[in-house]
Amino acid sequence: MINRLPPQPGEWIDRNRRVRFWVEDREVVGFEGDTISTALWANGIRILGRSFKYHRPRGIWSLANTDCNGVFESAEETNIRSDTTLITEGMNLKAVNTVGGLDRDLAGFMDKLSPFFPVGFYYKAFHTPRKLFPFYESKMRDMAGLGSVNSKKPLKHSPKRYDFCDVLVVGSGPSGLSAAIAAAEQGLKVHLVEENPQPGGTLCFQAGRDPARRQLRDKLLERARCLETLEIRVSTMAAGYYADHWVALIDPIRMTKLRARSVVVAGGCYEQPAVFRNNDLPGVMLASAAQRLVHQYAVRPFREVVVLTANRDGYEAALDLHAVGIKVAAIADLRSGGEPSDAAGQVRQAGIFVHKGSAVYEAIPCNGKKSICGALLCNLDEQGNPRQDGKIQLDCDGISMSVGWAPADGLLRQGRTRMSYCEALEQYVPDALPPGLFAAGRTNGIYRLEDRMEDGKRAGLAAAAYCGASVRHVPQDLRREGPPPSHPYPVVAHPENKNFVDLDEDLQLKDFEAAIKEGYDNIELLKRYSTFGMGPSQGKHSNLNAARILSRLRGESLVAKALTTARPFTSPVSLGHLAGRIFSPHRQTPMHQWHLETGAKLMQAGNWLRPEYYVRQGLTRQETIWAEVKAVRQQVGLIDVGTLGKIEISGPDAAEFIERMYTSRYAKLEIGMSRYLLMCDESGVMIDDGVAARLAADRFYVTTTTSGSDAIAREMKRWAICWNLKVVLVNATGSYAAMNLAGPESRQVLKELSDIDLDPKAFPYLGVREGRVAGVHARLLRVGFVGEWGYEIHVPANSGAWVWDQLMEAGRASAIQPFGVEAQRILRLEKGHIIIGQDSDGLTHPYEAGMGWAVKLDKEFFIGQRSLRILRKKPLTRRLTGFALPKGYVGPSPKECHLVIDEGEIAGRVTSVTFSPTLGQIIGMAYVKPAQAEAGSLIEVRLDGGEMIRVTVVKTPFYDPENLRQSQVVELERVS
Amino acid sequence: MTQKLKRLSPVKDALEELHPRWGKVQEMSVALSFQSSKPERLTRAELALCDLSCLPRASFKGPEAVSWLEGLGIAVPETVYQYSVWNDGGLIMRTDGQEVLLEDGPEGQGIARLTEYYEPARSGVYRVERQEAAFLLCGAKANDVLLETCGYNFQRPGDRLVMTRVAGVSCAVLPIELAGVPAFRLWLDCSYGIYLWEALYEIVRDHGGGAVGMSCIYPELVGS
Repeated sequence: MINRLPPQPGEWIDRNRRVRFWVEDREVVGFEGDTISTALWANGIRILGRSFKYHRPRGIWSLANTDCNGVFESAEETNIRSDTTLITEGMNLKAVNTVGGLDRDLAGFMDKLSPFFPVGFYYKAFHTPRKLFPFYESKMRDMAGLGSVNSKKPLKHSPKRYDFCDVLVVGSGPSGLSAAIAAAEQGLKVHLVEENPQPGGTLCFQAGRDPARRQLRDKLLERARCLETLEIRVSTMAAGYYADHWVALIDPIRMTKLRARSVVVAGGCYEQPAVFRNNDLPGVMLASAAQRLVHQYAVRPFREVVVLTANRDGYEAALDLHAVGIKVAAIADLRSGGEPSDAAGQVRQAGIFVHKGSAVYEAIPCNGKKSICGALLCNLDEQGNPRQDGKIQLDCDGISMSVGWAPADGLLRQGRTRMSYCEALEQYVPDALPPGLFAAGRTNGIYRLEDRMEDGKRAGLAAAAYCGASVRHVPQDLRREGPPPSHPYPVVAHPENKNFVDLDEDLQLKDFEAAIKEGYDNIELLKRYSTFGMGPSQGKHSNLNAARILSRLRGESLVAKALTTARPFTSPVSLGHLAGRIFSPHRQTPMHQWHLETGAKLMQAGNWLRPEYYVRQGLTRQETIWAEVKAVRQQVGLIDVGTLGKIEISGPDAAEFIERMYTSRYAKLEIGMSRYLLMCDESGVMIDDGVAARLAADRFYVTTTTSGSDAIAREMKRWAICWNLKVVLVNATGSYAAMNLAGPESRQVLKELSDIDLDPKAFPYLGVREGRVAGVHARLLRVGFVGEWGYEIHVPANSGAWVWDQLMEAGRASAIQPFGVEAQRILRLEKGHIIIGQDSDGLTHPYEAGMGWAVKLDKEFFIGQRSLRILRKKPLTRRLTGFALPKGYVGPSPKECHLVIDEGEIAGRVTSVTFSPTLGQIIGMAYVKPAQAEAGSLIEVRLDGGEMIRVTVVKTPFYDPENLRQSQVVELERVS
Repeated sequence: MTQKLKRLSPVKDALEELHPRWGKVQEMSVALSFQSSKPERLTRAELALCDLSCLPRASFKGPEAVSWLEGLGIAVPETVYQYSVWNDGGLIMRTDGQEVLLEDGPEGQGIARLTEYYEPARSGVYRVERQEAAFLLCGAKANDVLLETCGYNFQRPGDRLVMTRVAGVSCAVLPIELAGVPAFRLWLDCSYGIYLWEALYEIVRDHGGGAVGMSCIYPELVGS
């Protein structure tokens, strides 16, 4: 650890715990508390990554959790950020985005080709010829790789969590700690989150030579820890702000969805870089990064440094570095007048020479750009442009930049805070904050330490007052005063470029100039064209300079100019964190286990799991389904229809309510009888269907489609309120198990178990009866979706499995078969019954679907009536009709959604089609032109390969057109 | 093996995998206890999940529901989402201005009696079939489980029924106290029962808890 300094006060590493790890087969030893970056730097390893496009070597640059190029992967993890990830024993890392490793990246030649890749190159170069685009795309993806996902890595859960507090304070610097303490002292529950492993903010790295400042951190933390209602969460980043103070907190384990009653953002500022040639090479870093290395990790950032600055912080940094034995070759101050504070005198006393009104013109690279060996300084003219005369070169292995700050305002801006440019500070500051959101400290444009604490206290008390605490006095906002800590234009042009504005995306000054020349002269357009701010650091070190460059080139002031839109998340968050624990609610009927034990193949129906069919040894899927169909047609079958929506509608206005909700008439429906229901929306489009069973004068039991139940129940509740009718609505879908016993022998089976008189005279077709089945209270509906004599049996859910078992047992003598959804689909198609959603679409009205018989336009009112009156008068543009292929047909069959073609144009589509085992031919339904709907017409259907097939229009029902089988007792046709 | 009973818990199949000792409560097979190295009362104090779906319940809904129940001597809570204790271990919960949900304790017969009194022809009072899955989540760490599954703040003291979503499923949650530790009653559509049981059980296990049988919650059931 050649660059490890002697112990520093307050350092974050534990020197008693050495940690050994490997980077590209090189063994590295660090201390517990080191990040990958600091451990490597301590060992003299300066190349931590390669840049995105040009594969230039990159080292530590910000060390503020925003270094974009130090990205590694291991066998278990991808995209490991070296600046934020603590080292652990045995970790084995490989850098991403290199060809051959960090030191010998064979893709380094891209740096030489960079003149051929101007901004927007990809958009212009690769769109033609079109057929080559897949080739270009794959090459670009290879070149711009950011690691590969190891799909075999062990699954790691990152369960998300909700949490709640009164006041959330983001940032634990002097202002954040003061805010949290002030709010907690009011008795409120306060969460203080700090993205670093240690709280203290700038007090951890900008207090190096001042013991009083370090003690201040200790004092504040001691006070905070005494407050029972104040919880400090370290290594936790507030990454996203949503409505009503919902903040996404990201820690190494999980995402916490924190709902606060008010939020104080005191996240400080991000130091901004200067733009000069080679400002990206290892050895060039922000002054705060160098200070963090020294004070938090006891790592020597350089041996000899040039400090480029435009504020007091740069002078302080120079003194800090000087104090730990680093030779400060000079300070280059962009300001012609230099530093006005006492720091200038301290620097002079330390023997550090200051070049006023000068800038770093370029960093002198060496060792194949893997490090620097000098800084070329130039003087600036009155406009701040570099003068070509009088340049001097200073030897150094590092350049430290401190030219300005930008507030960590991501959360504020996500919360719709209006930011405005403050010329006194040369930075954006919060101008108008939404209710419950507060800013404090440097984020708020307050820079003096004492003021930051005062401002923090003010924000904490204001947040407490917002939560309803009885705060006696909330201090006034502090004045934002200069001198400005930021330089208005820390950008130095260079004819040979490589003066980077955005390190994430390898964007140079010339790229911005070119984009603006091309007309992308609005900050949002410029962002999208150049891609600045789109990399991992999300523009934290480039957005402000981009805005400065744009305004300079357009000759405008930044005042009244907005920055780009801020969106969650402020920093990269792993997909695992976002996914969390997977919750996929699904529903099961009470007979689910029986289905599984009987070999059911399950399918998804809405959020239900339903048996598609019951696997039988020796039979194919198709044969099995046909056997189930045959059982229903010839003996008896039982299907679980518990997934149907079931709604109880009671009250004196129940009949009136149903009249209004559905298209047919129900007011005079006899007690003990049921009727088909069709529901339309206001535009007359069919949206649901089912059956209404009248249990009493003021009670109906209504079924809906499986997928429609929740939506229909909600819609009914809404209308009941709108119409102010006296109805009681209960969505009883889950409360009742339901099964359909169907087939010629169904009555025989049920008779053994029920006390209800099943005689057709006592219990006619469409009748409804209540009684007992297998000792359980049941509602029975004599309906026939599958076209056979049958009973829909509804029983309380927790008795469903019992009743099902008893029916199967009682039906054994009749060779009862369970049947699934697929068999039911064939059975209903044979009967020509439509399925809403399959045989209709989002525009289908009843007249097109042949359902006009279910629409009673002469009723007083129902939803969709007005539209249907209009539609009724208009000529139809399509008709749903049955079709069939001849018996014995061999060849390709139409499929659902195949198009019906008439004279080369689309006339409609096939909605349902199947082979009918009962009829021995392919049957289906399709939308056709009205002129084609006549029975016997031939229509053409285009098959998958474009081949056309002719089918014959047939009247439905295909099977038992007289409905004899469900309404009269039909002798069992025994098939040998 | 469970006995062949007419009533089955919606989560019976999930319970079966945990090899419980079965018993019968309210005509339903229930898990009285589970094989575990740790005594269930310790699990109960730390973090436990228990199936209480066997408890009979019914709602009475309609403009006359409250007065009808009060006429039968049932003290219906005054405000919506308030609850009170009913008979031996039962609950009366006001779920709406015109709806009251009642649940019996393990040996209560209140629902059966009310069903007898109830006349379907009576106008203004409608009996609603309630077939929810019902769970109890209890223990010092119970709220940690809800924090992973529910966006409602149960950290705040409260004694009201809360209509919310747990792991994506609509639930009624009632915060109570059980033997000095926080506890939450959950009711949900029984068709989601298995899903939610499995989701909660996985989280409970991750937090070091486990399933407990009904006899751990109702010691009087030990010999059932």
